[in-house]
Amino acid sequence: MIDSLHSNQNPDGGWPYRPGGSSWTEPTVFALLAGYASGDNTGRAQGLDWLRKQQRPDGGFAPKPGVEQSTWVTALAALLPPVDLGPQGHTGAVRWLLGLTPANSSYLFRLQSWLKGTTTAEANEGWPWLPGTAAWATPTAIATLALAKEQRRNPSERIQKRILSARQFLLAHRCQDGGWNHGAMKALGIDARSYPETTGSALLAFGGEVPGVDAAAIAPSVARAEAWWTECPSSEAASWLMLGLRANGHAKAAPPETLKPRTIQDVALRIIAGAGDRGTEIFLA
Amino acid sequence: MTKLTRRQLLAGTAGTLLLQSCSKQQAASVVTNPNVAKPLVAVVKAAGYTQELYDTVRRILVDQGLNVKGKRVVLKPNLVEFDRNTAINTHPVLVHATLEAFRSLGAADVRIAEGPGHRRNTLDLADAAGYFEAIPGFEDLFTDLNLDEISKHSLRNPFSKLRDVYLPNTILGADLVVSMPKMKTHHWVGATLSMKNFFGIVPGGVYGWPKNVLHWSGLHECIVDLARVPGRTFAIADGIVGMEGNGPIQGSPKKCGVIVAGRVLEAVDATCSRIMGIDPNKVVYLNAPDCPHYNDEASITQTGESPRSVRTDFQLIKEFADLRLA
Repeated sequence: MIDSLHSNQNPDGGWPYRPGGSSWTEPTVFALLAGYASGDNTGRAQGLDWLRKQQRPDGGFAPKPGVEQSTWVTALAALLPPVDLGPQGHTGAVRWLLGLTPANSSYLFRLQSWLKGTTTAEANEGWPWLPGTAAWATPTAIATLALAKEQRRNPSERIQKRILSARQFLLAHRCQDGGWNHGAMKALGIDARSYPETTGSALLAFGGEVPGVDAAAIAPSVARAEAWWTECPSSEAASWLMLGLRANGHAKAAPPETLKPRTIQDVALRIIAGAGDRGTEIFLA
Repeated sequence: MTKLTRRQLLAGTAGTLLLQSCSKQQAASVVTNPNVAKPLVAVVKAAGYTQELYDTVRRILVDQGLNVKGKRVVLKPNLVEFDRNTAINTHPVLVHATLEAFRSLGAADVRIAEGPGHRRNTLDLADAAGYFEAIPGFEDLFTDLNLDEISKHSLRNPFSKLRDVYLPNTILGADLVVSMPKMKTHHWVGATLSMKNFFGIVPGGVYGWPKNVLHWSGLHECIVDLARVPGRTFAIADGIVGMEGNGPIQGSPKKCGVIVAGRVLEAVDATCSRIMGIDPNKVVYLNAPDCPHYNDEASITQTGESPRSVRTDFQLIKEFADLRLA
């Protein structure tokens, strides 16, 4: 499977979502992470070179060349070893993440919301897909993982506070069934169903040592992830479920062969998830 | 002064209020220009997702006089969830019938393209929705608009806060974009039809899942802005089985037994609304100021069935009870 990543690396060093496409930040980071998980450094230097060029002056990363906006993919870049990404680039990415407040968590928005009597304000700070919008499950999970890594390297009260707030955001946005969907657990008061892929990635963000969150709080999510595992509809979802469950002490074997990776990113995720503890460590160590 | 509702507040922008207050003032005063031909909207009965649809759709396109010889056509269905048993997604048989119809009319290339708003694994979603089974060679015909190549596009006189938006080249390069919505109620905007369906052209690869920037930029306003992006459009709405109640995801299937089609999206959506028992004059995005309105039946040349004869009131959630057509 790693051969597929090699053959789909673009001449510019990045990876596309689909074979033959142009390079994007997200699949490039996942392909690099797959290389770390599998111990294969083919194309790594070129991939990192390409990635460094996507960093913007504000420290964040653009999702692809030509997009004049830093987005959540900054959290993905921050998962890479700082020494490889470049210490300055890594620090800029972490700083960008720490400075990004969801639009509905700002003091001004919360005051306005309180005055209007609406319920759209968020006390907990997750992460949005891009600045100026609300927080959602996936970017919050990935940014939490990135900052938790940073906290292990360079502990700080600010980072710790943000991680705790983000995890509270995730718990507050958990669906009634115990899992996570994109981040809206109810629609007009009616419970919404979780998705397997977001349940897996959010569960991963609770892996390892998590101060302030006990195992009992996560138990319903583990149970939901186990249930999703038996009816998993995609390779991407299976990979995230494997990672999330393993991080919480419930290792799974490889996903069914019938689940075909659809994108380069799916291939990379499958490699990471299939690397056992080493794959989980990519996110948690 | 328009009364501030909870829904408007939740929609989150003052722009929404501005659009609505302007539209309510203007809706009554809009007069269709008598020198401009009325848009043609076909309402055709269809009992189910059967082989008959292939002939039905072809006849609709011929009646509409569409010239697509040598053109690049993109069909944009509404794919939302992993589900083939309810009425969330545009039915794949209707999409395939439309694909075949455009091919038979000489289109050089017909692609299917969609960028779902919540679920990332689009091909798996399409598979679960029955697209692989119903459409031979589906994977080669399909473009995931969330992950497509993109270009920056400046919106002309936008209603929303958006000024520029990155959009998929598959949409920007098409000669004709065919919006193929499922006829559904919608818990934020009342009804989701051919115009709202264009939220799916906004690439998740840039804006995320969900495309929350559209909510923060003004939901109704973005519907109007995005529907004006493609140079040439057509709409074929799947009203054979729609969704009522708490749509667009958690509602219930509603048999309606019609296909609604036409070149002017606003006219198609106004017609769909009437068929659903929704007053188009009360659907905010159908009343944007300085835009053509087709909320009066007389402003449309209706072919096939009259909307009144096929009207099937869709259940409305209490927040939208006042949209009910008299």
